[in-house]
Amino acid sequence: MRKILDYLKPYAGVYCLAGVLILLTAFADLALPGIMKNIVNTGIGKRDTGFIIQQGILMLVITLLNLLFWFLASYLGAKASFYFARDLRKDTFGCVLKSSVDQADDIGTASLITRTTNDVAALEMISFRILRMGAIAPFTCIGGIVLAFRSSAEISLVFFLAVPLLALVYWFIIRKATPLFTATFPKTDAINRIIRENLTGIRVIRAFNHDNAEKARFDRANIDLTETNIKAQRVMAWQSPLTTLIMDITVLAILYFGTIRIDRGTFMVGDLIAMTQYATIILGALARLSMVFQMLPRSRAAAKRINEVLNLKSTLSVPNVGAEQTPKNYDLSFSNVSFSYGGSERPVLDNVSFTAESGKTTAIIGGTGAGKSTIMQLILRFYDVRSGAICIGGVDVRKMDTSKLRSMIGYAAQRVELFSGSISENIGYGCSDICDEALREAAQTAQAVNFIEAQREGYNAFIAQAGKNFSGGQKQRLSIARALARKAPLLLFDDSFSALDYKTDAELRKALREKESHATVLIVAQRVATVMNADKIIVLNQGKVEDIGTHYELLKRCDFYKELVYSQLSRQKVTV
Amino acid sequence: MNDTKSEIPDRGSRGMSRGRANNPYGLSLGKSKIIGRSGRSSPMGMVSISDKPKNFKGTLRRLLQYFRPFTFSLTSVCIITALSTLFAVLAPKIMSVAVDNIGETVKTRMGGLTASIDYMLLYQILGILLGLYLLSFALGIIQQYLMANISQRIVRTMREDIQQKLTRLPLAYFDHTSHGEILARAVGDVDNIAATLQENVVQLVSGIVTFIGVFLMMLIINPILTLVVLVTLPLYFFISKPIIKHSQELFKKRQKSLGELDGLIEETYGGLKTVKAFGKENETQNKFDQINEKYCTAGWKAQFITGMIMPLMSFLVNFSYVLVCVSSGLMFASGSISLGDVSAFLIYVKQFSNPVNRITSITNAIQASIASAERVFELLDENEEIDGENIAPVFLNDSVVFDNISFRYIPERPLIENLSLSVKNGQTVAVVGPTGAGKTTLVNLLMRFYDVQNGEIRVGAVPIKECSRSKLREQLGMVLQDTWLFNGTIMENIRYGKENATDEECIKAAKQAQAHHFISTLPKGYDTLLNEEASNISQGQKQLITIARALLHDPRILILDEATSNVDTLTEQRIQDGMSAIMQNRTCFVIAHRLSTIKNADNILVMREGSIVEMGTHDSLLNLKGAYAELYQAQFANASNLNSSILDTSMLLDVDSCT
Repeated sequence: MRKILDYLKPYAGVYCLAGVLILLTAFADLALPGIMKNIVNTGIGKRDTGFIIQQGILMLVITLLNLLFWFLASYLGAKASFYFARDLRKDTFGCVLKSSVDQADDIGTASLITRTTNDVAALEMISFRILRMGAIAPFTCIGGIVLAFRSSAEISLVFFLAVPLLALVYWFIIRKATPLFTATFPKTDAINRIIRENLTGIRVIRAFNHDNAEKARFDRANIDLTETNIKAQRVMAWQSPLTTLIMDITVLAILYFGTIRIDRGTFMVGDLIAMTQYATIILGALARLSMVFQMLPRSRAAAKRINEVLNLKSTLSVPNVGAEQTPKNYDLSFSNVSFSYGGSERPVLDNVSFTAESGKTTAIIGGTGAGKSTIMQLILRFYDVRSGAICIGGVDVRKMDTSKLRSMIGYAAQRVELFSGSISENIGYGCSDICDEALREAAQTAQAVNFIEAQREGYNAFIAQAGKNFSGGQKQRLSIARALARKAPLLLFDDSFSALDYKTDAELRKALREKESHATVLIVAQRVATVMNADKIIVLNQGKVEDIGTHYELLKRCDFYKELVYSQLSRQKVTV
Repeated sequence: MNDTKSEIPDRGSRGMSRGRANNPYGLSLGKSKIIGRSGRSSPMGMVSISDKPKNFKGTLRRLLQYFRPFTFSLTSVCIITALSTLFAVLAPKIMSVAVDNIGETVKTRMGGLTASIDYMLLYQILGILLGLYLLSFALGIIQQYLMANISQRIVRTMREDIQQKLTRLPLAYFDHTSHGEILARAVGDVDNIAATLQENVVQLVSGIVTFIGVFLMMLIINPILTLVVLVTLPLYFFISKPIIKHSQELFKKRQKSLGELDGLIEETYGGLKTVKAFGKENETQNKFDQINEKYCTAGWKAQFITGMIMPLMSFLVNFSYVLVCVSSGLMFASGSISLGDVSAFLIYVKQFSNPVNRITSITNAIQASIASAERVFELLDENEEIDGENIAPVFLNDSVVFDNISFRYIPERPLIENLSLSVKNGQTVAVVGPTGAGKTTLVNLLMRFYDVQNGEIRVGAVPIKECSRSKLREQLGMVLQDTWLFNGTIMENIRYGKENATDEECIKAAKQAQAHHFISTLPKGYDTLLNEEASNISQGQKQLITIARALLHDPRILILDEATSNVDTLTEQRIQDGMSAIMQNRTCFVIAHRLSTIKNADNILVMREGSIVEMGTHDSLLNLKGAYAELYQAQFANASNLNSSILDTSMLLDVDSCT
């Protein structure tokens, strides 16, 4: 909560000014019953028409001033709240961008989105409402009691009963309702999640005839949410009738005590009318205050969730200023690298060492879950190694600025992430400025030219959400073209050829060889055909390097590799 | 300034704007990671004015259908509300009797006579009022309880209807509708309706009763003063209209930049690795800042302008209040009105302004929720897929027959034209060919995710169009390249294939799918929780789990669509070995790029541009030296061109020796 409040600081002045203005409107509100009293006591009592009109004009002036204060206050308040939210949103977004991948994974993409959008918006609204309703209420309440006291101290004693009573009622209601409302948040999330899963898994659900099971699952969540909502609403149901009842009884009490005092001649009718109005104002202010309290559980939850994002710090070690080093060449080396995800004890990579020279193609092949993708992600420094070191040109990647490091790398991921936009925007994504020539060249090497040019709009053709309008192989080629367009000295392909047919695969690798002859190329693949021409093949098995060598050497000495090859080609083809 | 009711959130509209946010901002990540706007408090304090329904009456009528099961309680709510409102309207008049009682006494005393207040009358009035207040308190509670029940259960039914509808919509619908849009309707819009039902139905009834009741009471007390109040009434509308119009424009602007903002957040978070790998952090932040600034400016302006309505309204209330004060004072002075009536009338002026004051917010809220209901009904009205009779497929010699079928996803783009194919019981059929050839489409058609436009597919002797989808799919087991797993443990995910399977059966399936080994090395084994990102296991491991799931399903026909593309070939071979016994009596469709996956198939189909160009066993197709041979040789043929120094490929590729 502290951290969030810091964001209000720059606007504290404006916010307070708005508060003062609102305070003035509270005074203006409170002044009206007093004038009313004068009209009844003096004007009507003495039948002084001039006085009545004079006081009427005074009332109008006060009302106008009131209006003016409100305008100013709501101008300043709106500005302060939105600027506060703007800063908060900016930093929340920035923190996610700068966090390391493992931290973002911990919270989850869906949750991060909700936090940056919903939660910040909730705080934006609440900060505005607190100003409009919350800030004014205590002043109105206290001011009203003071004025009532001046009118009649004795009768004002009823407020000492009514106000604490109402406060007590609200305290009870909020105490009972808050856990119920808090409980509805995850329940709504559950509804959301199930519908999302129903949408993403639609084929599987239908294929397995799971409609009924899904319906049962949804119904459970639906009923759960509904019943909790009803419970919460039923607690809240007491708020408004109880407020009205207490207010009404207070007025009755004032009427009763007022009448007795008028009978004794110590009180006037105008005072009575003013008194009842003070009662309405005081208790109304309390009612509004309770609405602010009602919003608190939501805002506290939002603030807590945002805080978690703001506290995200990159887990990557940062080189000391000035200690950053730039590599002289682009040879890549792993020395005794071990790594495990999260708090897991099971190492994904165990003491992995190898080198990949520039101008050469190094391939990694290995079993499912052997840690191939992890190697790629470690080079990109999505994560830092647990032990050992990864060096480029002899410089430890941890001693480099991450953005500089990544600018040396062209990367095509296993799961293609395309952005909706034109083809050229997507291919040129990693370049600040790219000419059509270079775009075409990248597409050419990636074997994407044919299908791009078959599009009616060519390079301006639109890529829809999730690249729905392109097949798996086409998406992969676009992602490869995007990596190539960067003209980076290091190229990482993480199983990027899996959806290509063999012919395209081979042609692509051939073109790659010709165009990127100076680059350090690292290819992860499942197919022997994809890796067999590499200058060096690293065989990875359950996180350990099994062997390193050329296809030929490995065939001779590495049983694991041999088995892999056998599984893809018939035995007699392999044996010499 | 009791302006709380005007701050009814515009949940639905924001939800909608997210779903529909057309992405005006260049790039946006493909995956739709849109979260329904659940449980959020509104971002703005005003009902979204810009949200107008197209067919107000029709939608309202349909919405009212949902009230039908609650006719009794709803009628009760209306009567109760009317009653308690009536009490509230009567109270000031009753109180005025007490005030008059006092006033008379004071007046008499001022005339120099002695008089005493009629305490009996005072007690009577206080008693009556106390009774009324207690009664309306009780009624208020009952009304709120009933309403909570009604509104929550109505939206529950609505959510149920939506979920059920989603199961009956053809897959084609989901091809052109984003998840975000559906979620916005199922969650955002429904929430919006719930909020309106809870708060505004009662408001509307009490508003109308108050308006009429107070008006009548004012007329009874004093027609001239009533006229004074009415003078200010048109001012309400004159003042609010231009403001509302202006704020509508600002809200539109705000919604637009909000859509851009949300779009950017989603694409960036969804593709965080890509953003980072390509070093786009700063650029993305700059873009974000720009849109954020735009949103902020539009936002506070819209907030401020709409915020003007309330104080203006209060000003008008106070204005007419002052007018009444002055004129009633003058009238009292001339003796044409009693003191009690003055005090009662002043209370009525305040009461009268309440419903008038709230009309804008209530109509807006109702309009917004009708618009929400309209979007929900739009979804509920989508054409459903037509199911066949409750017939199960019968298995004869010919297991699956594609009889001269044609199919297109998009009418003007032909995909499969006049394709025929017959697969015998127990055969394994492999489908190969470049991407976009229509391989997966065959599966989609067989599963009846889509229906053929021409020709017919028969399973056994029964055309699948005549089978019910569920009976058909009972016979089919499918593993897709896209590994969908839900939030739950690995065990639960495997059990998805067969609801009542025991743990032992699940583990057996996992063993057959070669998943058992890696699962048992996980710290929590089969109880490992798979999350949305499922970063704890690799892509290939996910595929193994989906295979286990399909094997547990134990279908007559097994379909593997690139099921092992991310699995290494050794594991794949072990899976095949493990499955060979299972596959013996089953018809299998295998789609794969890796030819090693399909070498042993009984029949290999080579597809190109929607038709079958070659068909036969691995060896016969190689001998044919056609498309298949070309594909097969491509695995190695280029090796020599690429880098002849590595090895002599002829040593590896000896086609003749295969035969």
